[in-house]
Amino acid sequence: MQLTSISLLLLALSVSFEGPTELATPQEVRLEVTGFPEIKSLEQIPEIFAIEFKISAPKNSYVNIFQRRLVFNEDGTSAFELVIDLDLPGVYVIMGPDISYHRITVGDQDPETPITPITPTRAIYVYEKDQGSPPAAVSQALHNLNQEHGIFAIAVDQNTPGAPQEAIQAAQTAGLPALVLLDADGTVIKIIRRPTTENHIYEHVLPN
Amino acid sequence: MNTFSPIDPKLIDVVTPFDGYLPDEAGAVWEACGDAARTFPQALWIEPKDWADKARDNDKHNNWGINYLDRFTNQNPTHECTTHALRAVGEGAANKQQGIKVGPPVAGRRLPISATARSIWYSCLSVYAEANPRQRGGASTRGVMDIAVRRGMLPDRIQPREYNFRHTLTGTAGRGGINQSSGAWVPLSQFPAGWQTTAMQHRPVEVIIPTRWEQTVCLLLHGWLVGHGREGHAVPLAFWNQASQVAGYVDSYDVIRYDSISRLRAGLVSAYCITSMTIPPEIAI
Repeated sequence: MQLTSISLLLLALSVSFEGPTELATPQEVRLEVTGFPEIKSLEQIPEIFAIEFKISAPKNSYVNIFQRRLVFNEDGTSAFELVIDLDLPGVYVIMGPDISYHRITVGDQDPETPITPITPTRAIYVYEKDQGSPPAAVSQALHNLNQEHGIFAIAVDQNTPGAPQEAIQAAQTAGLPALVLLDADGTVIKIIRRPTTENHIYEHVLPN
Repeated sequence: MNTFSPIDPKLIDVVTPFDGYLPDEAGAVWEACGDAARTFPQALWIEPKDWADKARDNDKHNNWGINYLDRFTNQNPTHECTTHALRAVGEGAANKQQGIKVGPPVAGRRLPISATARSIWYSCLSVYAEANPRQRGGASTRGVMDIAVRRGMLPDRIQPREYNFRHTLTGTAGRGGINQSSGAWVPLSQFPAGWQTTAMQHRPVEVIIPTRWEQTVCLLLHGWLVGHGREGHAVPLAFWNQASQVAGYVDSYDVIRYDSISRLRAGLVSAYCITSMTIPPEIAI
């Protein structure tokens, strides 16, 4: 019975995506996916959550859907909010359950050309102490980046004088806490929102 | 580090002769910290039932305040204790900010990691000389925090690596050690010319003032140090021992000692936790 209702739901789907299509640097993005039928009973919610999205990504990318959130609108319609961490330059295609898709190009380059990973020289974890302190695992990762990988890694409250302002601003824009990776020129090359584990950080910061 | 091992009772609530801490009045430390003073953020509260889990996480990741300290200091026989506590709380905050676990300290030893980290050692004398120009008699927490927040601290003459600071000062008029310079008393009037510029770059910018002893423990569990004074002595609390329910401190006599909960309560009137320090240009990239 449940299978039938999902199938009926899928047959009725014609979703569309809203979100950026071109980005200068790898970063997390939010996509709004609309086009779901009106939800008339709570039983339909698991069916909608069962809908899968697939992502085509550049080689070596660890891209994943960081968060899926169902948003209910006042008119009875609903939308998915997807938070996706685009971690390398290149072309990403997010595919819906029907024939719809959304394409995002990251970086100003021909997607056919080989991708050269950009190694950060600085990793700045920016937080607001009123919202919490750096997790112990994040502190450990910063220590290892400093001591074993030669990356200048610090953890600063957003109000700390002398902290790199480009990193503070980037983190504030993305939402705190965030780990901002900068190259040797001070350009923001990636923002990792709310890292909580050592591996989450290493995957983004260290070359493969 | 294992903070689940019971502590020798002889190391708990140790009574020492007057070391230089003058009692504070309620609210005085808050006023002294001025714009840097912060109430305890609710987001930092950890339910006591969760303390053991957080302590275990800190043990696993070496995330206690003491892990961000790479030296002892020795005030003997001076009355500088309040500034020795201050330097530890400030250095711990600065090193935590710098993301490098330089500790825990080992008495009488220079840790190799100090030379590769961005650890900065502050001069206790650079604050005490103004807090009590008479040398003997000590100082309150209010007195030293007012100075530190307003005009900062000077770096010690001894540093773990060469930073080329424009101004430095003797670390202590007490014994000092391999990681702290000692020497004759230096009155404020004889500080090096233009010292204020350098001192302003070594200044606490955010100071949380706990009002309950449980908040003090929460701050320790978050990996910061908490300074407090009681019974004539000010100390930097640097970790929480879950087994014995005591807070360990890096005493300014080259030893680790412990304060019980009753002392945490008694020390609340002077308790402070520096969570953010200015980043001087010598270590900024």
